[in-house]
Amino acid sequence: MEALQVIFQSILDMGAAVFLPIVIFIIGLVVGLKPGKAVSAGLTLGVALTGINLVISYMSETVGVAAQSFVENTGVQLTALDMGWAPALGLCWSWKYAFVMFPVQIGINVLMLVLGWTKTLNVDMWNVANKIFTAFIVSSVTGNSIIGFAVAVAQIVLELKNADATKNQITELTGVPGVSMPHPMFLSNIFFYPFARLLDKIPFFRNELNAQTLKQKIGIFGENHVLGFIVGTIVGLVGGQGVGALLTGVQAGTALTLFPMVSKLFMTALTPISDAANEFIKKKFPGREMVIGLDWPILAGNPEIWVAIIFTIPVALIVSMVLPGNTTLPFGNLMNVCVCAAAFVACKGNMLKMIVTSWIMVPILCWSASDFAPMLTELAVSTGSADILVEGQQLAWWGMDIAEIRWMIVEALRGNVVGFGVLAAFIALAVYYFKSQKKEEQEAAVRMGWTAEEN
Amino acid sequence: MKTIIVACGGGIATSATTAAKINGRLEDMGLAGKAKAEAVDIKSLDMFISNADLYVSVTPMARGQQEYPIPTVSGIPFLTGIGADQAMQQIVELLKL
Repeated sequence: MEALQVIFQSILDMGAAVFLPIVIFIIGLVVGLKPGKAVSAGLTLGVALTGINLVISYMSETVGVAAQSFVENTGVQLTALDMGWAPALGLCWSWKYAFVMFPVQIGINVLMLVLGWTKTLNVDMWNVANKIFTAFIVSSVTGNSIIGFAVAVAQIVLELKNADATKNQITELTGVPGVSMPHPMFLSNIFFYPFARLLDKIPFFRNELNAQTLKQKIGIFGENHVLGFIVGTIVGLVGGQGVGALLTGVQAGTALTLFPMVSKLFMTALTPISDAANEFIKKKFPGREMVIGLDWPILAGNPEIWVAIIFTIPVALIVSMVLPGNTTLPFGNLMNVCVCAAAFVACKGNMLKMIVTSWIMVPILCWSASDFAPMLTELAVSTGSADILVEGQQLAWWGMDIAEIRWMIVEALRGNVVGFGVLAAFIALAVYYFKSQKKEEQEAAVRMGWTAEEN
Repeated sequence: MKTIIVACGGGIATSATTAAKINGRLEDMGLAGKAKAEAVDIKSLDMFISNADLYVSVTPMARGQQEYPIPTVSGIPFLTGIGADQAMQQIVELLKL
């Protein structure tokens, strides 16, 4: 028994890259995978996590060092480097209670289906990490993981409710029936939708731009290696590297190109397991009317989203340098989908409204990222090794999903009166939002020529 | 070896999920050595599509049709689970596996 304990403890001590593959292997066996596939899935996850650490470390040694000379040269305190959503959500899996979120999300979803509280079966397993992130941040702030999970549960419920409340509109936008979108980013529409309605009152915002043409002209700036090169070169130049800035540019492009390559291994590992779990659920509820909840990218074909994102990049870089209280240099997440894809739905694809929404969000994204950076840094250091980051540097996630909502919760839990104020406004707007969606859904159904009872 | 590509917003989550499902099915059908699905970033789709044999699209649009230079199959059935067998059959036929 004692020997077992020693083995168990030493495995835990080796960190998530060793521990998680074992957890995945066991879960894999439980849901009925063949042992070989379960081993492969587990190891792939370990490889993904180690790969992410490797690229973070590379980013820190190259772009991070350039950013430090940038700080020295300009006096602008950008000490936290934004790594982007994929490594940030990947890192979440190394939080000690991360895996509990799997059964929690599936359990709540099934319970709500049984009780008839939702029609959505959320099959998007990548974004379980988005609930882990919420629980992790809240737990770090309050020192109580029960509160962390309670907030995550509220997020799961709201996500499913919002997916139900907007499914006709999603079908109208994509042409795919029977799907909905429980991604957390669409909860931001509780703020964005009333704002978009407000903008409707200004005639200027009734103009429609041709997104397809614009995207063909500026789309190249959105490619990871090109964007990374440009930002890296700028940081290097301001950092006083001279011609050497070009090397920082290429290195920055390398980091942004490699992050997706290692991050996608997460889904390679988790897909067989989520498949088995979903089969199980569908078998238990035959004949029940279910809408399948998917991740946001089924909207990614719309050029408006990409154009609005690219138009936000210069604003994000400039604001980050002049905004008091900001310490985050937006980098890995400059192609910030979380605001623009949500705003795409709230603004019904009107690009001018999307761009204004996205610009207004920039300071909030900066402040929330800077606030959460020390916690993320600690998590990164705890998974890899202590020397994963260059001395004096922090990791951040600029442009995280529902930044304003997460920050509001954290501030309220810290007892900040502003946090409570925003929370009260959020609740009032949520009532208005969900009420308005009923009308929007009805109108979408009519436009699609569905009969009244189908919605 | 034929290359199937799937693109999503970042080439990380939705596309990797779809690619994993297609690869799983290829393996079950004993075709793993003949074709392989890969997840790519939609922002760099032009770069990847020229070297691929088949495009699996998970980004349908109700308005504004997209045209691709290679045969294209909808990947949505793999995500929802509805009609996935037919979609897989379509892939096998288009690639003449």
